[in-house]
Amino acid sequence: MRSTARLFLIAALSISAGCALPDLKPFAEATRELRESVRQTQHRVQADLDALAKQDAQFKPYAGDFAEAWRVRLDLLDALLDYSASLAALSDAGQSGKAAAAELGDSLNQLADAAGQAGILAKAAIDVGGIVYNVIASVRAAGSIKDAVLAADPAIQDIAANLDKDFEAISKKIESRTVLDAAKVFIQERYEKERGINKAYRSALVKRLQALQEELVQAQNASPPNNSSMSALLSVIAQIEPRIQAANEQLDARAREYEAVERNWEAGQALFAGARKGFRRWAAIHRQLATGLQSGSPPNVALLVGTVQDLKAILDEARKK
Amino acid sequence: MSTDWSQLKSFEDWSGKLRELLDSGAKAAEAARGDVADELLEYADEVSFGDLKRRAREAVKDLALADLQAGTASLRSRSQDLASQQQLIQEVTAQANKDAKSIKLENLNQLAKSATDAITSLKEAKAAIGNGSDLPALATKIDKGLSSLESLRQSLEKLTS
Repeated sequence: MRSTARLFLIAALSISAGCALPDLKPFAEATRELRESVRQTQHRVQADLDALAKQDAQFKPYAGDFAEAWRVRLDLLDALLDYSASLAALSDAGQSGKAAAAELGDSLNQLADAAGQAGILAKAAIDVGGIVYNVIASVRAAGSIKDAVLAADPAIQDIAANLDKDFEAISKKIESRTVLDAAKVFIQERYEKERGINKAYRSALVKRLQALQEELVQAQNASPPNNSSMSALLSVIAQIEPRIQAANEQLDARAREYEAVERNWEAGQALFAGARKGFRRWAAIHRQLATGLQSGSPPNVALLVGTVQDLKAILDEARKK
Repeated sequence: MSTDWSQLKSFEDWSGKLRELLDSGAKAAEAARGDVADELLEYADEVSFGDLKRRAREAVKDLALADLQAGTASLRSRSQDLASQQQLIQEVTAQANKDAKSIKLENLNQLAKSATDAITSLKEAKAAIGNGSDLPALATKIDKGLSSLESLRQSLEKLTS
């Protein structure tokens, strides 16, 4: 190696010492996790709204409105995934500078051969060029990552704040308690229409039974006991009791359907709350990256990884429900 | 709010209770509307008067529809902002990808490969025409093309050395 090349190499390596590429994996992982939550939210809410719209056309416009609005969010999350991938590509480019230089050296040798000349780039030259370029690539990649993260950070913070409001609107309005009750109204109506069952019907049967039992006691206490009346009363009571039993069974079945929609609703609420926390953490991760890059100090990777683990735990817990 | 439904006997009792619930629904703050809807749902199950039952159920649906209207309007109000933010992120992404490509020397590499392919093709073409060809002008042009590509190769070499 010529002495000037060696000096240049030493100088370049010295520059690179202060240009370590930040670890961008935590941010990419966090973005993937959140996209999954946004997608799951879409499926859950859309299914609930479509079910309501199927029962009553008044609900149909809102199912359409939600689908349209959420499509914008899914596109946005795709763009954010691309963004995190582009940061990873920069980091990768910075780390593979030597390979890139070697590949170009090979291409130039092939070009020289094709032009009818002997390979003009000696192996040693490619190696030295590769080592030097590795340093240059690392410095350039670090600069580009810094530029990208600082340019994107205000938008990332706004996006997180907007998505937090979205999930609040879903939790409190689009999947509100009143919407849950509307779903239960449809169950009530179906049980009435198909099986003739509601609590009013059972209450009427119970009242009738109580009245008959009181009449039976009076017939028993009469002097002499009114046997023919007692017999008639017992016959009617024998018909009513199974009807009450059947009504109870139907109402139990309806209660189980109520519970199923209630559990689904609670699971949704947990997912939305998890996603809200997730977006706040995600924005914090990006802010930490930006702050670290701006101040010239490396981001706190342990803190980033810890934050992503927290976020993943929150979302996993929410999805389990 | 918990009602002993067995205390309601007459039509007047039941219609009075419905009026009370509808008033509560109209006045209730956002968080309390769910409680009113819960009670209206229960009312619709317990009441035996068909018209009152229907009105109670419509009231639950109206409360739900009002929430849905407010919720979807809230999402719509931010869609434009999010689309603008998406555009900014895409611009940053495009620049980052361009930088990554440049750092990986992809464009130069591609240029070198294209030039190699072109030289090879031109050489093959010239060989096919042959030295005693009736197409000397074309052969000259091919020579010129090869010469240009050779200059390009030298430029690339300088650029990357």
